[in-house]
Amino acid sequence: MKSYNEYDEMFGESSQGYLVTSLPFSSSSTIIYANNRAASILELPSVSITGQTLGNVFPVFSTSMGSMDVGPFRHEPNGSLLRLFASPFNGDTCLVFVLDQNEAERASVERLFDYQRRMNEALEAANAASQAKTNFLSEMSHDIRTPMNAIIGMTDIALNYSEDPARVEDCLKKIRTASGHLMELINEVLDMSRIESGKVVLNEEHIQLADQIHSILVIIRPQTAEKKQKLHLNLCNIEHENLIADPTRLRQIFLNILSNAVKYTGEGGEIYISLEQELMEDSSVMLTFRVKDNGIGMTPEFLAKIFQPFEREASSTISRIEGTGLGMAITKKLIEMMGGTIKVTSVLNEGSEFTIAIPLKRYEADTSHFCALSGRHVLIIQGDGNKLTTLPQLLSGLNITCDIAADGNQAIDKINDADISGREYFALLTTDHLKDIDIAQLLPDIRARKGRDFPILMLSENNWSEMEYLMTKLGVNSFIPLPLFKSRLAEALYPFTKEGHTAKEGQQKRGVTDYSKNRLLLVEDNMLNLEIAKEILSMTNIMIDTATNGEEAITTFCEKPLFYYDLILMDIKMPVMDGLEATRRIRKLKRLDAAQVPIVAMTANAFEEDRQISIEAGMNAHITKPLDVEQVLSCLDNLNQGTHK
Amino acid sequence: MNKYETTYLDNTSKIMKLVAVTPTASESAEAFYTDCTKRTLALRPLIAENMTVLRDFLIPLFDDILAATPETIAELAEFDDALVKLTKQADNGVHYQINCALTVYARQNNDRDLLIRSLYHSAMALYNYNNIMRMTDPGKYHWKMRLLFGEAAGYIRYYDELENPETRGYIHRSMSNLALCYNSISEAEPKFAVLRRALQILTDPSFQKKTPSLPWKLFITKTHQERTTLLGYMRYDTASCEQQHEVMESAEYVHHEQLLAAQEKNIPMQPQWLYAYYAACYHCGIHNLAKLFENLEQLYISASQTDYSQQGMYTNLFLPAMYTEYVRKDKRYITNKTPIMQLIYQRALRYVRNAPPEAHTEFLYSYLRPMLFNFIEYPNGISLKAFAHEFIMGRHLGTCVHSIAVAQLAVLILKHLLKSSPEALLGIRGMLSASEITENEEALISYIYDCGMLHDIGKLFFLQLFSLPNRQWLSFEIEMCEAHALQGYRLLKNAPSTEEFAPVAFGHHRYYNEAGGYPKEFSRAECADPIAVDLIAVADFIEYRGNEVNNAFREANSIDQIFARLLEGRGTRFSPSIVDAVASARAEIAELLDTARPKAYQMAYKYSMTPPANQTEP
Repeated sequence: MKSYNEYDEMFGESSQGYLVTSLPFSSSSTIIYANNRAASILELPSVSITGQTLGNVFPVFSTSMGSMDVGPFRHEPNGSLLRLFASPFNGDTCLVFVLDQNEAERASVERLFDYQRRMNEALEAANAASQAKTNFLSEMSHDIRTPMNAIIGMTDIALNYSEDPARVEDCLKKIRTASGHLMELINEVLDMSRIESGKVVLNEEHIQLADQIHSILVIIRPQTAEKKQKLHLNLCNIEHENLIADPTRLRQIFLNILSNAVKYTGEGGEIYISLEQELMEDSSVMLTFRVKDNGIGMTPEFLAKIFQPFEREASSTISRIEGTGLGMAITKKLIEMMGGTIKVTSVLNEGSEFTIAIPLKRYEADTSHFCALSGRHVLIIQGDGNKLTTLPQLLSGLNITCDIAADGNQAIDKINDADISGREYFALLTTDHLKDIDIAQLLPDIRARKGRDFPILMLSENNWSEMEYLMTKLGVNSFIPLPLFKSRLAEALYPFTKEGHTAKEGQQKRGVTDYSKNRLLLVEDNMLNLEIAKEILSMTNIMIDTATNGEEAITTFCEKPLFYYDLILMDIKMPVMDGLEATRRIRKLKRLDAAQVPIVAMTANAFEEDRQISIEAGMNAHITKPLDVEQVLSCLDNLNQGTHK
Repeated sequence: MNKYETTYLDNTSKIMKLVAVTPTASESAEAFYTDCTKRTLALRPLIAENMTVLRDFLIPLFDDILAATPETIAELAEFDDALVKLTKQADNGVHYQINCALTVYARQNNDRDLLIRSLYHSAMALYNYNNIMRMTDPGKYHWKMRLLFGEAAGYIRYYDELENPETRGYIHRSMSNLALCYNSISEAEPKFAVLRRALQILTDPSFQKKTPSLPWKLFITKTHQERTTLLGYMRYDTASCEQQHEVMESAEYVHHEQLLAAQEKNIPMQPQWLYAYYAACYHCGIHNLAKLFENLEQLYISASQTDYSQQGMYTNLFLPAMYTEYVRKDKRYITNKTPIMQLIYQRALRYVRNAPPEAHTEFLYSYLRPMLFNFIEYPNGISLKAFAHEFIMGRHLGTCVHSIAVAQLAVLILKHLLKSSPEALLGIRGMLSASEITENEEALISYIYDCGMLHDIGKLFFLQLFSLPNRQWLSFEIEMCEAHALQGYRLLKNAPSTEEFAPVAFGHHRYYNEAGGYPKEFSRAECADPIAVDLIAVADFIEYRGNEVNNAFREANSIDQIFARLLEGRGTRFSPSIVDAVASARAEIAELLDTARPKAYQMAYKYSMTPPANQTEP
């Protein structure tokens, strides 16, 4: 038998009532120990219980009882409803569990209520979700019908006016716009559905931050220009441009936030973008992307549910601002998948600010060849505004020194000074607009004076393709897009070094490829798609055979001699035999070239998991429809590098 | 030289003789008019032939200069030299184009001697427009000068490889002349730097030793002279001690050199360098302002009022303008210096009025310009309007005759409007009711006459462009001359006596709907008297299109053609109410067009024949 203290150590703090009695369990059993909870149930001091018999404490024990489960019974001294459970304990004692039945029932009822409450909440949530989905479907049906109506209507008009090319062209343009919108809508819905079902896999690869930002700005700038909005960009401490991330998803996140800013900011409004980097302890980089606008802002009510799917701000539905209400939900899910966070603050009618922080691993790119730029001296014409203020610092990072001219006249002074003192600038870096001299007059004069080998590089946030013809004629050799990244700067300057020139020549030699001796098997079931693909690829002079399903493709492949095809472009979804199965079977063929012939999936299923499935099936690469000729050729080049016939 | 080049030179020579026309007492006013008409008619075929030379030979050659043979290039360079010599650089536009073409050729053929020479001459050709450029948009041309002089100067790094002393001379001259491209106050610092460097190289014995045949002394003196022009910058009291020292050093150097030269030749020192020395002494703290006034007054008083050499013009017209700038520094001086200022204006007016026909009009007017822009009108003193009148009537026959004829036409249109629809004039000269207009008829006629007389006053600052009508203007020359509207406006609004005519000078070439014409800065909404502007615009157009004698470049339009153009521009180029008034007065206008011009010539003739009234000096 244990001591009182030992029992107290075991049961003293328990929330259940316990007694320890002598054996056998009967009304004459002596109570050796009673814990505080038991004393509390019996409303007696613990010390007054100890030493008494069970019969004394519980009058109900008038006779010896054989049952180990007593009650429930009314405990007369205090009227409570009790129940006792006894069990042998430690061989020589009995442990009696004293249960206040009233309290237990109360607890049980509470549990029931709680359960019911939670059930109700779940039901409400389910109803709300269902309602949101109903609302969404109702909105969607409108959103889908609107472009569909336009497409159908415009198609009818075009068919009726087939003799009027201008009218047809107008209709086609409108159809293109409407179908673009429809595609966007469908993509978002599918995206959300895939994210929710956990099907989205991040395709992490080496990315260049500059590419990401510039590809976003190429899309966003025309939108801001259309609304006469001012776009301010600020890059802070961007030291690590080579990172590892899913480029498509990262772009999707940034674009979603930015296009919302444009959408919900009025004409002439302002949008501030800032991008910052912070090196983390684990040597990864925390990339912080901030977008602030002075647009319509959001109500606190909407702000609380902004990331819930199918939610749209009431004012936006009223004002017919297009959207599915899925964008922010998708964005948040993607950011979370990347281990990042998104925060938003907003004041109605004043604007919103989104802050996204995503941890990204660094990629160690080989930039050693840029040391050829070290020690060079360049001239900068800063021109209007402060768009090139970071340029000297970035140049310094490449060990390039510079002279800075605020305008065209100062640039002439610097060139004069350099010539007179016998110094040479390695290159001229200029903005596209000067406050004092028309750049279109100045650049040809500088080109004439400095000769054709002198590099003139233009830095601009405008679309180069729109100005390339003119600027090239004016003497500009190369273009560096703004905002400015060190990598872009180095890449633009490097070809003008001796080392860079040699490397470029080598690349150009490799780049001159004759595709007329290459053979391609194009496998596509849709005749219209087949025609389009053939038409696009015919520009390259490549020889094309076609098959309309996987089985036919295998037959055609087998009929041809070994190593006949340089590339098979394979559609995925086809009747008779799909592309994946056809690929698996080709790979299993007992031909020397079966394992080697490059097979590239050609499909509208532009998701990462589809790419992985096609790779697993034995395909070498994956390109999306509609076909892009450069993409196909690049594929061919990559796969066949050095093996052109 | 090519035949076409010789033709161009011969024609230019003939044109120079034909335009050298001044009324003489020996011929009557009628004979003078007839003579002018004959001369204009004689000019036309010569100009036309020069245009053929330019269009068919010279410009195609410039365009395809890289295909030219060395012989053609040599002939072109020879032609350029001959043209400069003949016209004293008056055909500056062609001179510039030739040298630009030669630059392209020299660059392509790596002919450094030709390149440096043509770069220098291209830049100098632009500099020859400097007086005009100052009034237009200097920034538009100065950067090009900077680039051209700078490139030529930059060849100093190949100095030893360039053996031709003439080429080396162009390098040094370019290096110093680079300073000519910095004229604004904000560019003082680079100008100092450029001159410092030029002097450092010019005084470097190693260069002098390498090319002893160059006129080093002249180069150094000229460079110091250019540095004294920074006195203009010092008037803003922002120059550093080092800069003050440099200007003083140059002023002293030039003063010393000039003094020696004057003593050697036993002639007085050139006034501009004396002025530079006095001003430098003041700005560098050697003399106070009272002493400067004293020195300048002494220099001015001692000047001969019949000296129409460039120096005489400088002392009689330009020096007082500089003096006025110092007087303007403090209101007390404006009062205290009243007697000398009044004397200056009386003498200046008489000086201009008495200028003999052979006096160089361009110099005369360019020296007079700062005086007019700095003009201080004193109560009972000579007004700016009096000067403006003298300016118009005095020296440039074309502007004089055109202004008189426009004034007469404008008065005719006004009278017609007063009679037929005075409400169309509501707002003119601030008059807001038809009765007020009719009650002030005489005053209005006088006002509109003066508007007509002064509307083109700005053109007189651009005489360089008019001096040799041997071809049509190049596009940049047209652009330069368009600044006459703004310059006329700036001058007239400078003084109470002329202020009310300023809007007319400003807006008479701007379209009624502001969709065309010039200057773009003119706004009807902000104009003090748009009705007067509308009226003069129409009168100016009629006179310009219908003037047979005054325009050698093309034949005059018939009255039908003029009216067709007016109606075409009704509501766009011209005010509809003015066009309507003119249309209803067609017969009178046709008659006036026939009579106004001979009458204007007669007035110009009489004015030039009338001796100025004697005025007593205070």
